[in-house]
Amino acid sequence: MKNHLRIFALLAALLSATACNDEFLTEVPSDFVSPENFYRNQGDALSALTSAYATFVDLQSPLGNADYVGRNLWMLVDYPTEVATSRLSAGNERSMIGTYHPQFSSSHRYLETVYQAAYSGINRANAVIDRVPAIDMNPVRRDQIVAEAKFLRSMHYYWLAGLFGGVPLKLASTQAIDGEPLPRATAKETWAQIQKDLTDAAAILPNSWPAGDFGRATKGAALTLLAKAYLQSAATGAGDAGDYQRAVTTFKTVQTLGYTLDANYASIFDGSNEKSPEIIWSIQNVRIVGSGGYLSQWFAPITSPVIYQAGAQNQFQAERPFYDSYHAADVRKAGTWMTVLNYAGRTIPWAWTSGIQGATQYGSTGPVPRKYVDLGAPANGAEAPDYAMLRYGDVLLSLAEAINATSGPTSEAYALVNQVRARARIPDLTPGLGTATFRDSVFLERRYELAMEMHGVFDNRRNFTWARSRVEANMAQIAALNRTPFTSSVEKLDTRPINDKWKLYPIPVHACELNSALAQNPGWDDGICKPAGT
Amino acid sequence: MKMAKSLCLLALLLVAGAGAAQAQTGRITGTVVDSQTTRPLIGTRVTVVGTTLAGQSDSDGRFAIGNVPAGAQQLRFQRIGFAPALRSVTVGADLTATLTVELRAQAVELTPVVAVGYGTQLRRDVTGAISTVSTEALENAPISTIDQLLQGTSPGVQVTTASSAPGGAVSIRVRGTSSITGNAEPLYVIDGFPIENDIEGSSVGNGGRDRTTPSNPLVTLNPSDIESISILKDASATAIYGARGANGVVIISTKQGRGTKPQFSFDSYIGVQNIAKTYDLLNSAEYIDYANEFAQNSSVPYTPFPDAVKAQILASGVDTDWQDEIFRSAGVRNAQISVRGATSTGSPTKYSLSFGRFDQEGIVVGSGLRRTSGRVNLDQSFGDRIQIGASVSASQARSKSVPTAGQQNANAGAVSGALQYVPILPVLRPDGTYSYLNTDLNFYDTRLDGAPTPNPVSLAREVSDSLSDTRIFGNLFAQGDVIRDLKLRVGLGVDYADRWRNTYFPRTTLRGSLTNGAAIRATGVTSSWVNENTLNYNRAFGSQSFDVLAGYTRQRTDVDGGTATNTQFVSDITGYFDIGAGTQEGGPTVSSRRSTQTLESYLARLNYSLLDRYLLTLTYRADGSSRFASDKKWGSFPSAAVGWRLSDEPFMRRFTAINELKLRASLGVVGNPSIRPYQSLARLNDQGYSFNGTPFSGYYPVAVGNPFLTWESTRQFDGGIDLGLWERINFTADYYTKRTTDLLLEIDLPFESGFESALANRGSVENRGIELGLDTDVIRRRGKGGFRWHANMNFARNRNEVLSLGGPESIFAELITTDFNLPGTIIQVGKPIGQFFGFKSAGVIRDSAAAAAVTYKNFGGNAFKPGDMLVVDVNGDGLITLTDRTDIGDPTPDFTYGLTNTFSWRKLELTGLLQGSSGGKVLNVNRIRTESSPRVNISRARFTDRWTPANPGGTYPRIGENPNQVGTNNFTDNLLEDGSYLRLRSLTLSLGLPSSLLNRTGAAKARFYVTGTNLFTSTDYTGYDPDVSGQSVGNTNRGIDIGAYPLARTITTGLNFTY
Repeated sequence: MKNHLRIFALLAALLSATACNDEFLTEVPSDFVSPENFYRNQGDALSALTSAYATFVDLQSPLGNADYVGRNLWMLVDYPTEVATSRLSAGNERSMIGTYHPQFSSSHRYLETVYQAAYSGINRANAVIDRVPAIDMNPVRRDQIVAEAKFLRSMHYYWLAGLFGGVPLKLASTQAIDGEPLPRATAKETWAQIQKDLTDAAAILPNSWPAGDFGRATKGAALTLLAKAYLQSAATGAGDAGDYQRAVTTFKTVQTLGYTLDANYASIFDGSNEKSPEIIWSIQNVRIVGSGGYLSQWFAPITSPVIYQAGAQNQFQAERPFYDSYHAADVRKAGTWMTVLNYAGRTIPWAWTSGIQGATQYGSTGPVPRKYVDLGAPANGAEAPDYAMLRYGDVLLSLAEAINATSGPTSEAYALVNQVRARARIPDLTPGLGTATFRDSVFLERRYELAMEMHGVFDNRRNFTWARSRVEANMAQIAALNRTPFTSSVEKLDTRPINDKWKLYPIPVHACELNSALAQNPGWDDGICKPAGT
Repeated sequence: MKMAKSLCLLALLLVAGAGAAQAQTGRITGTVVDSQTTRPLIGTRVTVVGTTLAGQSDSDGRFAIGNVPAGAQQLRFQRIGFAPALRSVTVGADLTATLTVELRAQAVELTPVVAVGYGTQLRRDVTGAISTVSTEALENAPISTIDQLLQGTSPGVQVTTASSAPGGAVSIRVRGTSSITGNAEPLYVIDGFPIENDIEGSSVGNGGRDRTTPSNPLVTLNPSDIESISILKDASATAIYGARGANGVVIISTKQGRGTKPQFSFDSYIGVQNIAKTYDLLNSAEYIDYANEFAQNSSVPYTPFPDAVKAQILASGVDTDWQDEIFRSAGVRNAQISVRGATSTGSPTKYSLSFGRFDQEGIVVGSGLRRTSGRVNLDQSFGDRIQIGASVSASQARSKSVPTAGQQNANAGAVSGALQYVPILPVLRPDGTYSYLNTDLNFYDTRLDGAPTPNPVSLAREVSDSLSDTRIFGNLFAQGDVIRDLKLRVGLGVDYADRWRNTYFPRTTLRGSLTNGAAIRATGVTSSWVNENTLNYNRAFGSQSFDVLAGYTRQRTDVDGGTATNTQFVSDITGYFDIGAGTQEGGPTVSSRRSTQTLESYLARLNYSLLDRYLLTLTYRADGSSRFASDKKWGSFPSAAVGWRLSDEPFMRRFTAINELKLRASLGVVGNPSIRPYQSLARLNDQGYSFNGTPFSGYYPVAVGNPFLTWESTRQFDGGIDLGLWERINFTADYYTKRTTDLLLEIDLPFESGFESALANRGSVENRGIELGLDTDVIRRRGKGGFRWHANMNFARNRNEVLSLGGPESIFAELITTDFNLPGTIIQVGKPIGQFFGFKSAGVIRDSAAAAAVTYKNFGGNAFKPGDMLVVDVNGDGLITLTDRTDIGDPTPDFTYGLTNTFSWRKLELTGLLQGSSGGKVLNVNRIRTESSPRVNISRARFTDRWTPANPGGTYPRIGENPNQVGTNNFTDNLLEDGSYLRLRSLTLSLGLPSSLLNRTGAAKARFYVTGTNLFTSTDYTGYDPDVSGQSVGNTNRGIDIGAYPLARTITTGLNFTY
């Protein structure tokens, strides 16, 4: 009996040892960071900002590297020009963009991923803008961090506004899952927000950073993007009468900051000259997976055996009429396009065959982009060349365009264009052009100067009639050249005129499914987004 | 919280007494003995039918009941482990009637005791809906994992195969799917230890093995160790498991020691498996014709295989049957030895020991499973008041996996690859390397656009993909009587599972060749302990009996895991064993994870019975879970059930045919806590960026928190009837409605939020259905060895309906596969969960007249052409657009059924299990490619019955580019197939060896059997197996077949000896 008592005493002890307490049910995160233990000091503030920059090189699930700056944004921006085309067939979702394909609709995946990725980046920037001011740290650096975040936020909005027009203005980080659906702001409001953020940022950001901080947004970067935003809002009717003049003034301020054209055009893009005085701001890529560029795979010749991983896919290549139209002396032709692949002791030439784009089994079907291609990258997403998003060549041509719009083709405007042409080793622009012809000449110069640098569709927006005629003329030229074409060229031969709806891309349909307040752009009604104009 | 604390101090027990006076009475005395041993049986409950009178046999088997009304009376004798018996006796006034009763020992499935949560209950006293699985099924069929036991044997338990690979996952649904995103697998309670079978959560990280089917976490449990399985289905039965009860509870008890002398047994079987069905695909000559026709129908016609090339290919004799190359005839072997017994002193020790080994090759080359398991169950009594016990089992399951399911492109598995690879490619090129569809097909013409699908044979032969699951499971308990009839039980259980999966892709594979070898090592260690303390008071007062349970339990589970991957190996020799040998730039990629979850609970149950006829069960559990958000830690789960045993009412006595008639009804609330740990918290993820070439780390918000996140709550009503006739027919019927609210939904957030989605409690779903079970001896000849035909039938029908999604009318499920961008399934208010979502088709357009008759335009404004699949303009806007996608089918079956027939005669027994499912649709994604390109092989039916101008009646659209014309990545309902099937799941013929033979071997019992598994399936499904839930075991993407591991047909012979 005594034994039994002891056993029960033991059981009772066991029971009391596991008595009720609150700590038992408290969750303490161990393998992840939560807001409760973050945003506390300068290191956290810098860390939050770093992740906002990281949107450009890597993305969160469900998006992949290719879904934003790593591919899809490029394709949306540079495909719908006469500069580049695709090896793929017309019905392929990639080719659709460049062929103004009738089946291109608001459900195109690239629209969705770019839209989603941009807002993901905006939320990261918003988190910095919201949380950093409350952190106890060096106040100068604190203000700079917020200013950098505003620059990043503007970069995303710049792309969004250029692609879609007015978009919802999300200016605070998301804290709760419930909220009123956010309708689209007008294009005017969107550009005004971009201009406000960049004005704020430019007032605080330094002209340059210490060497170890190279790659951060500077005053010059903020001003350049601000000036481009004025130009874009003015030319697309989303601004007011003063925007052209503001663009001129702002570009001229950039001119005072010490940037110059680099004598070696090709070096700006191949990773060998990343701190060129021409580069105002670039996306920083290194040969580390997730921190590098992602474009070589899409640019380089198909199944070229020297490319790492799954082989390149040659999803961009030059359109022959454009390629053939370079001035014979233009150094930008070789700086932009690769005609012979030299790598690791191997030489792989290509040739146009039988008309436009000839396919050889293991070669390319046409010249492929050279800009940003890194044949020595160890893996996808680990390409070294920085992406020069803002550079002085663009500033000069944009300023010429803005001056022409305010005062006509002045000698100052001519000098700007000729400065660019001189670097390209080609003669000056024909003198005495009228305002309209000068404008179109500047746009054409931009095609040669800035090909494959994510300007194409934004330029188209500012001069749609010209851009449309370029593409339609290109289609006709291809038709004349064509004997045994690829199907993509056949589609381009389609005699249909490019519809006015192409002035803007459609809002991605899935965005509307998740936000009932979104209205579609004109001509793209899909039955799911609210009709255009509502 | 306060409420819970006060519960901590909860006092129990309301006791009421009642008495009754009688007149004209007599007395009954007697003895109960075991019919085999003629030993007296203690503890037999003896009741006078139709009265409140009862008694219990003592250690000499004697019982006595007084005050029995004079006249003819029926006595019922019940004891655990013995068949119940009824005896008639005539009682004279003031006289004593005496009788001796022999009870026949019998297998557990017929015992009237069922395992309920935290205890057992007499079947006749059960008020809830509980199914038990016959242990006969356990003993007689060669089965590798326990879930196979549940298939087709219990009504309302739907078992779906996620992968037929050895050790592949099986998904179980009890009474439908009551959750959309949450884990809908039942709770398993193994020897009292609750285990949430979170298949996805417990699998090791996939570490870049895209979309692999998770392995089965129950694979380590040796089915031969199981004594009984109970499935708790309604709220009354499951509420004792509170927040974890919503998906049903499967209670598994392992074999305990019994008897007196040691009983040794030896079981062994050996079998061979073959693929049950293959696709009929084109051969080389047909494929070439097909590809040429496809090319000719392109917008720019071409001929990839001109006659000369065709002749050359055919002359070379290459005509690869890729299915043949990856499937094989595969063996399966099992051996098990065990000993059970007890020492028969005053404080007996009961023991049960077993050791088993199971070895199965898979029918896909390179796959297989090997399990080694051992178990010790011990039980020691100290006198008659104290008992301690322990059970320990250790097992290891190792499987070799071949990438099989998931995708069709670069991440395709062997099966998907075998269906895509064209017959004109050899397995190996002349130089000994594996052929590659992409380059080798493009060699003929780049416009063929060969898919980047890896060579299936290289996947099967070359990839090393090993999984290991080592599990140690221990239980310790002590119980004793505190005072008379009040038992205290303290139990401590530990479950330790160590899982890893190591994979190496050598250079001979596509993936390995691209990176000079690729290795992945993933580990996951789950350790869990539970402490359960229960007080049980069990007493009868006259005509009333009380069984009161109160308890307090705590459980904690820690999961640690890590993944390492590396590439650029100097050679393939060391594979994944030396992962450091990789020279990947930046070093190996390494990650690790850790999580903890805790659960604290108070539970109470009252079983009350009045006059043995009026039954009441009240259950309450309060669960506090760490996984719930800070404001919602505690939930309470009550239930009530009543039962009325009509058969014991005096007015029923004249219906002698009815030996049991019980009406049951229950109502209660249970929960599903399938929030992963920490999901209520906001979190940040790491993502770096470089400045001046130097990488910096950064953190960005990746998930928005939800401080209100809590359990899904299911309110269930169940009404049932149990009917027993002539002591040989048992019929059970249940009707239930289950309404689940606060569904955990991963709601898609607007893109503008910057987040993809967030978890919230939204929406509700309802399941309602009926379950019928019939268990009968159709023929039972008298005498030992007489002919017997026993049949067990079950039927279940469940209706699932989404009632609300908390706002949106529909949400898309995750992508079926990332090879297709658009979602293939949808969750829609008013419809069952996981409807297929796509375009409706209306047959192939015969001719230009039929095309002209179509009043609307195809995708992109094009006109329909002859040979196109006619897509239905659902919204009638004159144009096919994405808005014409609609729900096109339901993967959940209308009803499921099972039928087990056992014929026995003398020592011969034939058992067959027929099992079926009717009305569910299957999306055969394997066929999707065939609509778009000549780069993959297609089925012969698709080719021979295609539309051509000469064959306008063809049921398949024309061969050529995108004949559905519904844009990229969409599909029409012509890929949906009827997944109904009727399957002879197993057929066993067994023969007990005659005693003359036995005497020579010294065995007490010996049996020899032959079993055929999956011998026959009747279905219209064209793929390998309609019983598939694709690559996913989730709730929304069911009925999807993407290169799923095919079903095997197995013939097994086995032997078991008992000494």
